[in-house]
Amino acid sequence: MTIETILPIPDIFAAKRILCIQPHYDDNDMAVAGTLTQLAKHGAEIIYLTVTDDLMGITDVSLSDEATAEALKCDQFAAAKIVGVKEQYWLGYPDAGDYDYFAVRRDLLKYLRRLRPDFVFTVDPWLTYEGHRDHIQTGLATAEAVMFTSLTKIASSDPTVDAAYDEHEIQGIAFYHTREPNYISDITSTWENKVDAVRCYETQFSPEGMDRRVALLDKKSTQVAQGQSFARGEPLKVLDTNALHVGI
Amino acid sequence: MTIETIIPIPNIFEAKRILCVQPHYDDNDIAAAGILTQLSKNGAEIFYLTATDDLMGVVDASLTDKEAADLLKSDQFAAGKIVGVKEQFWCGYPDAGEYNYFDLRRDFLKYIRMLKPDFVFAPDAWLTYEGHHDHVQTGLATAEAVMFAGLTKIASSDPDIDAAYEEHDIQGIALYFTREPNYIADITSTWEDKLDAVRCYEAQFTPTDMERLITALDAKSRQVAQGQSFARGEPLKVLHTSALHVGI
Repeated sequence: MTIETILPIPDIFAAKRILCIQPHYDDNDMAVAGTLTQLAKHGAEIIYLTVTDDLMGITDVSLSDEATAEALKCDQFAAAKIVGVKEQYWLGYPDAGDYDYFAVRRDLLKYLRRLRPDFVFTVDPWLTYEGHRDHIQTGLATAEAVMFTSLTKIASSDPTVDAAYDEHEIQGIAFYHTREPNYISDITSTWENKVDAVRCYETQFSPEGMDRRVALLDKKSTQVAQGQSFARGEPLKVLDTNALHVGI
Repeated sequence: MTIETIIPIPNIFEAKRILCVQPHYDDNDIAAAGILTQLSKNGAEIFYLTATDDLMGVVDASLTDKEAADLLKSDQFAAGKIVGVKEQFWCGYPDAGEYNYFDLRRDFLKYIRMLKPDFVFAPDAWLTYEGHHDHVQTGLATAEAVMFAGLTKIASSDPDIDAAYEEHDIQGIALYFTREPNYIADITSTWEDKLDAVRCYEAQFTPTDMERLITALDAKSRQVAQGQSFARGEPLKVLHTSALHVGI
């Protein structure tokens, strides 16, 4: 027996500004490019924020850090064009590194207060058997930052942003890379866009590695749509902001 | 609704070299001595790596740390003979202590790159209601070290080992002490070996406590075999290495 929240699941299609916070440069698109493409077409402003610098997983280790960073951004901008991402931001924490949770949370508070999204997407840090610490840290820090956005006594990393902030409402949070979805998004109509976006991430995948990844995403998208009225899905745990605390 | 991995469960009986990473000196055997005895009989080389120094739970508090350490090793070697453990290694972090997660991960990376196992056993870090920090840290650091073994930009604690390392394939990870098994090992034929191995751990159990532990293991081994075609089992979550990330 697992007790679910009593708060209604907010409608992601009611969102006007969506901030998508990812640990690594390709997580948003690997997980939810299908849904985000639909939301962008529906008129929402989509903004990406990447927490780490992604310097560990690159395929060409002969590249300098500067050349790598450029190649990574070039991949991101190509994918963003397909999905319809309006703006991108980076925090630059060391990939797979020993960075401070509270520093990340302060930076996330800064972007939440500055960009004032009404919906936030991020990785599910409660995904069991997720081994990557960057994912757990990013998901947890995002959840706390969403809860604490209007509590300006909790400082962000930018006092000017905190001073200028007028309270706004974040309707909800959508966790991707989840094993416990409460919403399966129908991405049948945007599946090809998703594959095109994912294929832009060439810096971290060999051609064979990319084909393997696309084959896995293909299989996963049909697995999660089983029992639904559509062919392909992306699983999400969508929660009201108030459902991020004490299991209410 | 819980979504399972789409990647097939690797077969532990195909493993030739198995590294079993445990928080404390008796965890591998209390959790999985039955299956590990079968795997060693099947021809696999079994290595144990113990994360902590186990100095907190010693029954005879009058022993010096050096005497306690000797006694603990003598227990481990006696049990290792029964199970068929080939070699043992120790990291020596303070039992129940405040050590750094990244130090632990660097040491695990060192042993994984040095020993090149094709399968890794460790406690399930996502075991809900597990209270012991050593177990959560060991399980998480093992999972990340398994994922990152091939990424030598992520340094281990030994630069020589990193320089000499040639990429190898880790087929999978088997997580013991789990409440979400996807594989129940039939240990009916090695149950007596398991008891003999567990009874070696005298430094941390009074005779009375040892009887209680055996009774609990007895009941648990039957509980997890319910609905199976055998009498006694050990529960495992066996995952392909790629299934340790983003819930694929």
